[in-house]
Amino acid sequence: MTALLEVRGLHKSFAEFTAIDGVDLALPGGGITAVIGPNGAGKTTFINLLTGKLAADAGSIRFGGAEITRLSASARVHAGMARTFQVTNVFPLLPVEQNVAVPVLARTRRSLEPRRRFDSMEDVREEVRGLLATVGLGERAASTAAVLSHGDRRLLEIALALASRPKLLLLDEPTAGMGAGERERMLERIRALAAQVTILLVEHDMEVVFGLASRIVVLHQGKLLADGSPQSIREDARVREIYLGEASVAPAPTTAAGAGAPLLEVEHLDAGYQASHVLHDVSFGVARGGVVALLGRNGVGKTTTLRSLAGLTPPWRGSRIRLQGEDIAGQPPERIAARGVSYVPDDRRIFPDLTAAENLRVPLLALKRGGWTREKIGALFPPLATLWERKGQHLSGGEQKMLAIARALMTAPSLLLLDEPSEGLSPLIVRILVEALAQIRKEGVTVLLADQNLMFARAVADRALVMERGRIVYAAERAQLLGDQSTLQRLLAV
Amino acid sequence: MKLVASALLTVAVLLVPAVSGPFLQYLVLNMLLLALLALSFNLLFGMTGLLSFGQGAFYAGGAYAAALSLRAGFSLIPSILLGSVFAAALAALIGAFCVRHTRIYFSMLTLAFGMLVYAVVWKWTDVTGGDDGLIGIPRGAFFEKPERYYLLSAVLVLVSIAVLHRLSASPLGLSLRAIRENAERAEFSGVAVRRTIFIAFVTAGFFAGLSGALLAPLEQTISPSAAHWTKSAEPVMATLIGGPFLFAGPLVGAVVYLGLKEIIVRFTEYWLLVFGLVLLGMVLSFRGGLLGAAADLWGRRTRA
Repeated sequence: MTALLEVRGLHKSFAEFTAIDGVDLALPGGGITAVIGPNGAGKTTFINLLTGKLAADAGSIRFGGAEITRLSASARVHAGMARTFQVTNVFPLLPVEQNVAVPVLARTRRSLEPRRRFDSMEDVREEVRGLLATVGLGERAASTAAVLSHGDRRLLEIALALASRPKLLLLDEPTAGMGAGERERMLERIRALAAQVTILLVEHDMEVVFGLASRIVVLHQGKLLADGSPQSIREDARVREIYLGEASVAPAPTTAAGAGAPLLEVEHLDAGYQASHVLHDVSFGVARGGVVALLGRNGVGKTTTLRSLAGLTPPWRGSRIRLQGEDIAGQPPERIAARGVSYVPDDRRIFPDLTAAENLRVPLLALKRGGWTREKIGALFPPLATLWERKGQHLSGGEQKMLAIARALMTAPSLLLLDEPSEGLSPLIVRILVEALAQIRKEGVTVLLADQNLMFARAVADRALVMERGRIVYAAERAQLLGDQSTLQRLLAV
Repeated sequence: MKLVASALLTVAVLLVPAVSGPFLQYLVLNMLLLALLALSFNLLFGMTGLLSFGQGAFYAGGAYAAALSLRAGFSLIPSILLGSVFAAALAALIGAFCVRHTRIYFSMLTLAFGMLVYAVVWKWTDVTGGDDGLIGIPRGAFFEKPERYYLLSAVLVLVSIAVLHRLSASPLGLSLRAIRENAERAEFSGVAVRRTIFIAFVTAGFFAGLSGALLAPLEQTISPSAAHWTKSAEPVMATLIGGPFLFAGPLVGAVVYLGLKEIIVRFTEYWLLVFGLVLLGMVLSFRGGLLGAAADLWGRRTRA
């Protein structure tokens, strides 16, 4: 029997480096196969080559027995290959039901039909209703996609992919950025889907990978390193070495936060977007030289808190934010940045056409101040040290994350705000990040970070604040973070 | 509501010759032609998210092709159709290059092709009359009467508007909006993005050409200014005034644009200066255009 997917000698280089270097892979129908590998291993490039987002330099891809190496992305969808994306990718200003109607019409070859009204096509409406019911979005059919929560948008993405009735479904980090409860629901959906469709997924979260996959493929530096059952991958010494073996998180720092005056004091912070009131009376302080973690599920207001501090989402009247004793609430972001507050958004915002080195120089153009040098950055993030001349768009997700933090450090900030620093990172990079944060605090930089990963927070923070529905509901000191975590776990799970 | 409004508008447009003189007929017909040009432009702009600065090329293509056909002795209706089809063919030729690009590159390419067409019209004196343009364009004995020509044009424009309206609610319209929202996701939903944009480009070319093909016999003369890039700016302005995100926006914008021009011109020859200020005010105060602002107001009213 021929394999559903057969990849032979696949090659892809970008101007400066080889991302996929001769990969062979045969996938029979059925089951869930996971592609894993450290950041920069070429996982995303591999998925992009399979689905036609990128064109291969050499090699062949056969799907269902037919050669598809040179087909356009939409033609591959028609052949039965659908995908989701690492960063949610829907049609934001269209209603949910119209989002799903797009692939349904495409599959039935009616995308170009100009004469009939699409909303009068009964079969389309019915199928859309069925798909939305399958993913549990039936009640949101008329909402605009942009107002859905992060988890709902990921479900909508799955509905979009399923609407193409694929034989092979490619999921690029399906649980990235999800809270524990949302993630559990997503895993159930994926398991249920595996009964109907062959699934290939890329994922960092080892719990997810080992909980789902019947077969695991390991990529490393663009090559296929190992391929086998979860059991054999767990026992593979080479895999251990590059990947799982490095997973242990470094011991927690022992230095206590400085006892002097707090660097940041937040009092009665209220903020939101137009009519939606997100933050309610948030008050907390961050000691000079401390590392404080804001924990909480998606949509509880962590990002809004950081954005308010950075001046990107203006705090509402009555809010007080004092930095080194001076009120900065309501000041524009560039003024706040000039006072030494550096914000690293969760989506990294690397300048794609600038090299890594140029990305670092950008903030220095505006702020005539600096302290950190490239050498110092290279020592902090060793993987970056060999990548200075590579363009931002050719860096992997994890490399971009490190570069974004490095860029923030170039301005020698006194307060570093990090949004979801550990999201989507391989264990190796997480470990580098933990060590880097310990080094950063040694340099006297105060850190406030928002994350969902309790283990990460435990490794780096000396204080954790748990948020729920725009309020701080629990504060855990160092001892509680390290000791009994039952309260924290209860608050962070659903 | 919408149905009643469009029925009333249709009746009003068709009644114009019965109740008014040649001046108003001429003004309303010009509004209709600009409305059609702006609606064709908005098929690319508001719906697909592509700003074309080259609609003037297809407008002029339709006008010159119809004029040449009429001067060669063909009758009116076939000549108008020929003009539109010629414009669509021109759009297919130019579109084959333009649809490979998006955003500013698309806009610059359409602008460049527009200027190329203008240069051809200007220099190819043997065919286009060059600088002088073409004069004495006949429209046949039957349509010599302005009212008859008005009715023919009005019917053709109204039918075109109905066709474009249906298209905007069709699967093709949805595909175009999907491309505007997220071209990558559209491609990975199985929509052949380039082919879809190409179809929109050619369709827009056809209706821009029809607008031009109706202009030539109306004026009975045509000059290279029809192909100038400033002509391409008119549908842009009309659409921004009316609002790009509602189907009728460009239509409202065309009426307001020419109506305002007609009024301001009576007071000052620097009408563009005054008009520029009015446009500035409108764009700054309602970004969704007049119709967008009205819809917001209406929505708030009905929700309250």
